[in-house]
Amino acid sequence: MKALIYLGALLTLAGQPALLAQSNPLIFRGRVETDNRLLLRGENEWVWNENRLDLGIEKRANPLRIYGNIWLRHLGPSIVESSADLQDKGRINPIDADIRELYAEVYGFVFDELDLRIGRQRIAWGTADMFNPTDNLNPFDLEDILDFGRRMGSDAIDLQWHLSHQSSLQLVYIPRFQPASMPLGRFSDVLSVRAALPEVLAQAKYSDEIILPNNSLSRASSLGMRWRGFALNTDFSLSYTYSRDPLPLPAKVSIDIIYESDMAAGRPAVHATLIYPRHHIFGADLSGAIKRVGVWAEAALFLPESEIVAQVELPPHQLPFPVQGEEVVLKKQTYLKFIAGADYTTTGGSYINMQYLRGFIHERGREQLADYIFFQLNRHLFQNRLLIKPLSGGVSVSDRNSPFRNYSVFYAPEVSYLGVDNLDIGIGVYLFGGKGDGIFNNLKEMNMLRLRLTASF
Amino acid sequence: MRNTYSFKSSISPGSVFTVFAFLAVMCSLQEIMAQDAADVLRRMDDVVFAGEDQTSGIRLIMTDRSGNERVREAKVWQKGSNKRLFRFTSPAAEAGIAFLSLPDDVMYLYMPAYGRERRIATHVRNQSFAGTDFSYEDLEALRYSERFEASIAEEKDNHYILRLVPLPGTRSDYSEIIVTINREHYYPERMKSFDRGGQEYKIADYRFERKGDYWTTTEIRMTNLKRQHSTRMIFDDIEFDTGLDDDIFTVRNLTRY
Repeated sequence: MKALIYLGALLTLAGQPALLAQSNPLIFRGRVETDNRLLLRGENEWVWNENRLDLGIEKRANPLRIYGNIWLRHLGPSIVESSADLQDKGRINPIDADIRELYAEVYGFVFDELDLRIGRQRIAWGTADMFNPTDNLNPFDLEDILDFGRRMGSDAIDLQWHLSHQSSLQLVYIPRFQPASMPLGRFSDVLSVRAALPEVLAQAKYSDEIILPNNSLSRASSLGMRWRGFALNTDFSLSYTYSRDPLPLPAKVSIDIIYESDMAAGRPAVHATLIYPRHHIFGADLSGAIKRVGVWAEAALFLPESEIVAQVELPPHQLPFPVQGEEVVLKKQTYLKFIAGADYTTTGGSYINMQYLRGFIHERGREQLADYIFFQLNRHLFQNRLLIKPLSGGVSVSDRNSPFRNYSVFYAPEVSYLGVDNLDIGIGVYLFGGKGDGIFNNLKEMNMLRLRLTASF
Repeated sequence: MRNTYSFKSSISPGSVFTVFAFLAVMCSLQEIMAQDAADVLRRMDDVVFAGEDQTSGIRLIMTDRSGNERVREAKVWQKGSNKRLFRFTSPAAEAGIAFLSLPDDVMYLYMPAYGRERRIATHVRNQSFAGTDFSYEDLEALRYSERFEASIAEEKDNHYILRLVPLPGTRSDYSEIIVTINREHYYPERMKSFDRGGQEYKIADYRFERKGDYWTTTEIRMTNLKRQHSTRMIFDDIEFDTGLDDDIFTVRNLTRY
């Protein structure tokens, strides 16, 4: 509902006579998408059903530009638990609205070389594909675990000073803290704190509470700056971010034994208190070419502002497993996440893209970082009517010392039909597997078929 | 031995002079012809890249071997002979996709869905640009005379026919281009390109019209002989010398969509 109000406000603002008087019309563009996935095993349960209107609205009245991007969606199955729920259309047909971006932008603000953008916006930093360790101002939007690169918009003030045609300085201030959204439905445990509990507590009843930072400038704001340049035929940038980790960490864990009426023996129950600690991030990236091969690299040095020690409260009686009174969750020491990649198009028209990543989005601290390789091979066929991705996936190794016992893989081939303008229909599968605790191995029960359609307007 | 002696003995000082004189004349002629060819190519460049700057709308009509058509529309800004910005305006799925070509093989692609530009390496030069029969190389704004060595392949009453081969150190996916140039006005009428294997690859047929002070391209029909697919690039709303600012050909402007 809030999104609809914003949408109405945007339309009203964009429709002001002063703006309409300009020669540039109000522009609507967007797409309609449906994304459906079902498990390949058992009774082929639906695990994802999303129908989305992705609407972009733009009004230009130089030097002013107003832009909004709103999602209106039907997401997931009916949530009906009693006959009373049948009177609630919101539960029968869950609808969700999301303001992805909503901002005003002024080109040449005060000075010709200065651009100002205020409002909810995406601040995309980095040069790599999908995985960008230096892209830390917008929180992750992990709702769809398979859409790793998605971020939410942040309410920000963004100033870009164009020092020359090839160099710029960007300053970003985000006054409010916004946590990352976490995976939905069947995927909800994949990146949760619960998933990081010791194996002995895997079956424990889990609950948690989140402590958000005070909603004040000093506690909740973030700051970023980035200098971009060009030298030796290479684009590069250096950046600094002072922000809060968008994924929560446990500050306190209480373990108890609960007894239910049908239980002779109790079972453990875990209650975690989660916080979002601050960190400094120093980033650098580059993109260029070696011979005819496109190359890019990106690195982010994370420095937690303080050590995070989780207080572990034990139950008053004996437990069958050892638990320390304190657990260091994150040391106050730097850790480096980085990615390097290359792409090439063969003379036959096949596009190949490979990336090596150290440190996935949820991994923090030197000890936690794992290695990943992502690969993709695309080829258009039948005069661009068909796009095939026969090799698309990734491999992770969570322990370099014993890679064959700690690896996970995913493979996601897809075929897309592009024979009609503005229409993209794709069918593919996601297959997961491995050994140990790699992220893709955690999804091994989720091998699925995906059918999606996108129509643009 | 006899033959050798006989051969040596048959060469008189006069005949040696004749041979050298003949070779010298041939070399000079070849040099003059090469010079002429280079000059013709430079003149063609002057026509193709006429004006300080140029802005135009473009309609791309792609036709497959069955005769099915798909249409793309774009806007192009060009300044000098080495800066060009190309931005799609339709269809909706591709609107906003833009390609910026700058000197020294620097190329950027902007895709609105990703919200940031992408530096693209030269491996894409031979690739189809957005499904058309034009490659990224075809859309670069670079003078032919600075990339190719020209020689006269044939002269006709109304045309020069030049053979172009890439200059040493030039990256091109064409091993050879045969270009037919209008003898009176020096605009290209046809370019036949050969791939690296020497096979016939593409044919571009040009239509030029006089617009004010300049001859300008109004249509290019590019036929990919391997794909049996063609694209007509039709230019409209052509404007010359409007004083385009260098700021247009920057990443700052590329990402403004």
